[in-house]
Amino acid sequence: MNTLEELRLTLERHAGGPEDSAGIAQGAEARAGSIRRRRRVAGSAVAAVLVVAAAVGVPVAVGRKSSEPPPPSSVVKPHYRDASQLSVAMADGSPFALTNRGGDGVGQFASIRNRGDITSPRPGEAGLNAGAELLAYNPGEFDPAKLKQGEQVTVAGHPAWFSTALTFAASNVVPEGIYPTIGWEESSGVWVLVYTSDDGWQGHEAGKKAQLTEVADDVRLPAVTGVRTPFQFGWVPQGLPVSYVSIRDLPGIDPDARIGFGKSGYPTMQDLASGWPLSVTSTPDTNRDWPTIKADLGSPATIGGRNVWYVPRPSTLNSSGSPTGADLVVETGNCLVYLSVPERDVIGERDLKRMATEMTVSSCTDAKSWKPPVKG
Amino acid sequence: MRFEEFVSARLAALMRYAVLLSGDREYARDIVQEVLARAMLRWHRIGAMEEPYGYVRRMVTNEFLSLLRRRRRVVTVPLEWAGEQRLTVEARPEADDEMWQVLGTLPRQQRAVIVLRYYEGLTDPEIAEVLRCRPATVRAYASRALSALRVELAPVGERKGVLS
Repeated sequence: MNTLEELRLTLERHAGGPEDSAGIAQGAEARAGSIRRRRRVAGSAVAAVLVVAAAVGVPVAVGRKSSEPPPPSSVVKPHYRDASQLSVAMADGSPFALTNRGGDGVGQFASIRNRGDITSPRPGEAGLNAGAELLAYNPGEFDPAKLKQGEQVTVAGHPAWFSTALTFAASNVVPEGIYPTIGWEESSGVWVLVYTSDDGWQGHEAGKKAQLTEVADDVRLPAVTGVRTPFQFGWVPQGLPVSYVSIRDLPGIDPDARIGFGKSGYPTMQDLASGWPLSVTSTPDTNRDWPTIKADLGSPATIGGRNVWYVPRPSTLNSSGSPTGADLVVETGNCLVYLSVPERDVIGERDLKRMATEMTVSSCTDAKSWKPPVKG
Repeated sequence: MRFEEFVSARLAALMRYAVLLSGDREYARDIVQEVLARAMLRWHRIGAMEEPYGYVRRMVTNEFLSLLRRRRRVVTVPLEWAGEQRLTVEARPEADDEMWQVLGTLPRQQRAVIVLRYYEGLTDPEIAEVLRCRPATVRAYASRALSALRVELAPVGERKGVLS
């Protein structure tokens, strides 16, 4: 047996030192500035909800380089894909795989990782090319002028540009910063950017260019296909359309899916929980904390034989979302499904419970059984 | 108190607390940075409180416990980070510290209770306020955690000041 004194000493020993705090204050300041800018763009969450009907179909500039103005409004934007459709893939036999992919009305994003690292118990130690991040802008959504000031290179046989001078605006997809990037235009008019947001590339530009080129060579954009999720809804409040998707469905990685409904008050490719009028997230119920959290939630209601909890915020379930929002948790099969709203006065308990009533859920861990998020 | 003064005086303490909660320095930095950013935006209210540290510590705790936040991080972190986290226990020089390893396996609420009780020195009612639960729930978490940690409780008299 151990003693309380030993427990206290263990905590003291592992509590860290002053060196752990270096740079945090500056990071917090930058992050606060980023939040302020988002709020300026977004206005209030209520306002965001109110403009949904008017704004659907009018994509805002996103993840787009902040240094670059949006294309002139007269630019023709041929329809390429809906927000619920994705087209990014890796070439057959590539050592790289997409561990996460998604998109909205403006473009797509993906995380590309080395399969060797994915299957390794010690990823990164083998010194493999770790991969990169990807943005693919729908036709007419990206101004390549700044990129084209970079070095001309060749990717998979077509012209491309390598730049270390593109400024990325902050979002949950892209941390704010300047990153080495390779970009090119597909025949569809889609602009693809492959970049790394890792620190420490300065002084190693040539090595980064080689790594990014290796990744970019394997990127493909075949035909767009509709995204599939473990959950499928027969009814959605106000008929809100799918406006954002984020999927992890690679075998061997804990799968999950997140869907945003309606127009976000924030620029695109940003977080859902506070920006979309309605969002849905599903994860496998293997989180070891779930039994404890479940106990805290109290007695569930039952909808269609499933346990359901309606949790107004603020709550320990969701501390960082809008305090005027709410989450409905559905426990079903091997899935936990969260229906989240930033304004419970706009989309309330009754709406969320009706969604849960008219929801079918397949296996959270078997992506082959997934279906389109909304019944056609 | 101005925000800068608060950070200067309390950042190290917040980091120590977050490291103990999360068991991972990078994750702790992430949590504290996010919380301080949000606190900065509301500092006109938080700074006017009698005990801003207690409030910001509660923000850190909630951030750590937030289930939805954890999912978001998993999606956005680079692969190297995920690997680093997975290796935290076995790669650390203190890997032989059995109690620290067991702490890392506890459910988050239990770990939070242990850290708040035995590192931050809070009473059970105070912990209940931080975690938004009842003191009886705090005691139940503590009991389960101490059992997992194989900690033998000292006689009641010696515990005065911790449980009082």
